[in-house]
Amino acid sequence: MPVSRPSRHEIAAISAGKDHTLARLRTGEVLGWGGAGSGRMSTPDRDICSPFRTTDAKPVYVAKSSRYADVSAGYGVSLGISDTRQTLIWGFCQVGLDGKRGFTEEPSLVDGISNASKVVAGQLLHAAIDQSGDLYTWGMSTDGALGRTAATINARPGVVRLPATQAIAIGDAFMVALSTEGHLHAWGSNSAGQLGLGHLESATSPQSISLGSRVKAIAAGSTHVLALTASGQVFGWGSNHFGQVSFNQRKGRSAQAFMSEPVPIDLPEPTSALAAGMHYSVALGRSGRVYTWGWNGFGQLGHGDLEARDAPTVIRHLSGVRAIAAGEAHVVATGESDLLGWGCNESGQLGSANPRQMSPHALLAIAGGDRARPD
Amino acid sequence: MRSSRLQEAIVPDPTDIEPARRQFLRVSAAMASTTLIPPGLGGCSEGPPEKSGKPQETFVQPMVLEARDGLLDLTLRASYFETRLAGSIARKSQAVSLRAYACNEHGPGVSGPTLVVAGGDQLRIRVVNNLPVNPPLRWFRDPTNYISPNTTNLHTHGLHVSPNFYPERTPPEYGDHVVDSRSGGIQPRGDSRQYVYDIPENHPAGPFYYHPQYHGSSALQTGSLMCGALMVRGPMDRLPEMARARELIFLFQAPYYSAGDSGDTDGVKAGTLENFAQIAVHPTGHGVRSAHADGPESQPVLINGVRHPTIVMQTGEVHRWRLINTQIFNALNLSLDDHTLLEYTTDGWERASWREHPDAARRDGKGLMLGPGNRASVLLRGGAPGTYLLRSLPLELARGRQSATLPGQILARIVVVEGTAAFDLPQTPLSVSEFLNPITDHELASAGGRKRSIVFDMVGNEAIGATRNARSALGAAFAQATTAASTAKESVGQSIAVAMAALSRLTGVAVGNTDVRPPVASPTHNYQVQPANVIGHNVILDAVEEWTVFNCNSIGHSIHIHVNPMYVIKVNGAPIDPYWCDTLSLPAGGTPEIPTSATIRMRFKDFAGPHILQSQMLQYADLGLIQRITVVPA
Ligand SMILES: [Cu+2]
Repeated sequence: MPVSRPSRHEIAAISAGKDHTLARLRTGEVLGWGGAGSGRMSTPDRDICSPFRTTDAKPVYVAKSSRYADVSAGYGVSLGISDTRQTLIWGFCQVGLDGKRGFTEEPSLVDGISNASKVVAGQLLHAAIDQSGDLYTWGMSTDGALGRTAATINARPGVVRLPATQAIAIGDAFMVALSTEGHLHAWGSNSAGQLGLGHLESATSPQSISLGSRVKAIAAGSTHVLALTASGQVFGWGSNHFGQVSFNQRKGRSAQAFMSEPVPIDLPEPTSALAAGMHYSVALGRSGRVYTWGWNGFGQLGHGDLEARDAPTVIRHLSGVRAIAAGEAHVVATGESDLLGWGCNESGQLGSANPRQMSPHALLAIAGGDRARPD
Repeated sequence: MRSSRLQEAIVPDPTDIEPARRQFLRVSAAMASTTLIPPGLGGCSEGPPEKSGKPQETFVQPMVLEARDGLLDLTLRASYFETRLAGSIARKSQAVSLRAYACNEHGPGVSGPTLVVAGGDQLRIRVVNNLPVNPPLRWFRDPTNYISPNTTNLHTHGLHVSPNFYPERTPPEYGDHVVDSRSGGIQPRGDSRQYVYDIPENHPAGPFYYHPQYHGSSALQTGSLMCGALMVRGPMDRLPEMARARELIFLFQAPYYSAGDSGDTDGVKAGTLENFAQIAVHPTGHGVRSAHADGPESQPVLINGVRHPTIVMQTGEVHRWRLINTQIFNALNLSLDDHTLLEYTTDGWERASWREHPDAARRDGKGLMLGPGNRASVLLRGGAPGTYLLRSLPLELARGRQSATLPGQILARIVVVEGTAAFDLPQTPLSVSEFLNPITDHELASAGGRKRSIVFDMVGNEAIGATRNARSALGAAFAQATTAASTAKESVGQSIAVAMAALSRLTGVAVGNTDVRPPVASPTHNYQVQPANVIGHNVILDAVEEWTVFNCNSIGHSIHIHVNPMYVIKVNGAPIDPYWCDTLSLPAGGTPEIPTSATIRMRFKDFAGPHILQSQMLQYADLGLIQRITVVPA
């Protein structure tokens, strides 16, 4: 038996943000690739007008807490939960709370949330779920995106009135919450019908979305939403101008640029996980195969080209995937022996890959066998 | 030599005339046209022929170059221009040596020429940089010579044209391409660049302007004399009432330079602008004092190089004025005594109906606010004979944790004489290019519906020197940058290894050959403005998006977005009567907890490529209040 090399890491969870990638290791340490929020200080004299915001392909360890219970990569920032259940934030924190300000990759404490168990970072809009299932939201209140009233526009964390929550997804100024009972609520911007309510009016408090069956997983792209039912069926709604929900043959195409009500999406096999980014979608099949559809401007569908797909399309030669995550325009996946990524790499979020990486590329060797199952 | 009637008609400007000098001014006021027309302007006054007994017009306009057979092709040369400019007191001028444009075979002038194009035309501008070599770069935020003061480029502010460059052409050609690298741009001592702008057929007709936007030197160069008017013509200009109205193009400029007589020379020669601190420590400038003993001063404003020009019109005559605020920091709050300005373009973007600006001294009055970089077109009808002042009224610059009011000043004198000609105003609604169709909810939903939040936030919340004597937060930023620079130089001086270690700590760069870098204690940036380009925005071609721009500071920031105009739909979250613009002043009085905001919609049509959003308070942009936007192919 070969001894596992020290350069092989055991990955517990992955997250992809606007232009950075985070991998939480079994040790609780977090590795970051790419731009702001990755834990990497950008050099102060880089070209201000360059599209490439780092030349550094190697990951760094996110500082301070050596053990994280959860992390989430957002829009230039990251959130994490320390081993003492405190919520931390780092990255391009343009506007702080309680007089705390500055731009730093050094994680700093977010006050007001105790015993957090899950965090999700968006664009100046964030959420955490505590161990009793209470949902906290904070950040910029546009279009009712906090799901609650707040005394300030840039609001500190506060609890949203909802049944106990197991998962939360954040898109552009909107959120979707999944209750422990498998019910969906959504609020905030409804610019492309992403609240699933049959209209385009935004909502300042949680609105119930009915799919007729229990939901077990959700994903939010910029302006579209995917949901997975207990039976393995996928639904989608919201923006669809690149087919990111999917093109329904029964209706005219022009009517399909957005869908304000959930529609079923046909996939070749039962789905185990979903992810979504800027106008594209990713599904992980129970077989370990990955399906992608929607916008493909950076090759984030992984098919070796830049053509959009309006129906789920399997990535050939990719199998054994255990977890997926989608950033704005890049995807990461834990494979059998590598952490893989494809799509946009302008900020080094995929390590040494091409700026437009059109097929899966290995970022990091990971420990194989049965020691590397996802959580 | 001049009629006594005119002399009596001139109303002294109480803010800029020293009492002891008034008598002298009255005697010499009519000489203004001969003493103050800058030599670079060629004296092409459009005033009525001089006749004894008639008021003398001193309003001048730069040379006009107009496209013919679909093409306007010219060369702009950047160089120093030695001239005299009036300061806050019109009759007092100061010798200056400032960066300026020369056009074709002409010498440098107070501004570049006025360029006139129409939809479908091609505008070709070759820019030659004859400025001297840059001073040595000592540190990336060298507060003395910020980045590269003599490296330049060209930006066509507001134009909807391609932002690309075309390396495959010989010589390489550039569109409205400002994302030059630190080693790029048009280098001093003779480097040149060919710009090419294909104006779309349906480009709305209105006033635009051109200026350099090389990151780090844009404030210093534009705040000298490097700018010029750029007019797009269209069907609106051919309406008979518009065509008949006399058109005056106002290039409002307020060049910064050290004053010879104040003792405040900023460490540079009198009449020059060589130190970034000159425009940053007191960004509102010097010379025009506030009524408030300790309020900030503002920079005296020239119109086409002339302080307080006189414009002559007849009772009942309709003029159309094209107003271009090229100032790099200060806004104008325009009001004309006893007259109403009918605004028919906001920036260069046509309006179907007037926005009325009655004399702001009246109860229902309303100044025409032109933030830095803003333009407007107005129609006005001459009232009863008399002299009227075009003023910029005092304007709230900052509110809340810090408050400041920009002093008002007189800009021009309008002498209305008896007239009999009958002029009509065009019928409203005016017909507007379909390019400016409203962006509906349905259009937004059908084109992706993305929403983004943009934050304008300067740490410390002390954006300006609130009082005449206080240094601004920018000044404090320079102090920090100086410390950083000297620390780094020291490190280098000690040994390369120490410097490397310092840089490694600063950047988290790996030491040795490890695959994965060790955790580093990351330092906190402590700049007073946002570090630029920490993140950028990728937008898909043909996307329609809605952005909310938050202002977390007391000062009313100004946001300008290149290439595509903005359709403003909300201010502070509340819907407004929507309108198009390309440069937008955000409400003053924001805080990090309760920022002010404006919400805009944009169509990212026609052009993929890299451009920027920026503060049009160019000092802030140069310091980092700027972000890259890349429109990527669908
Ligand atoms: Cu511009």
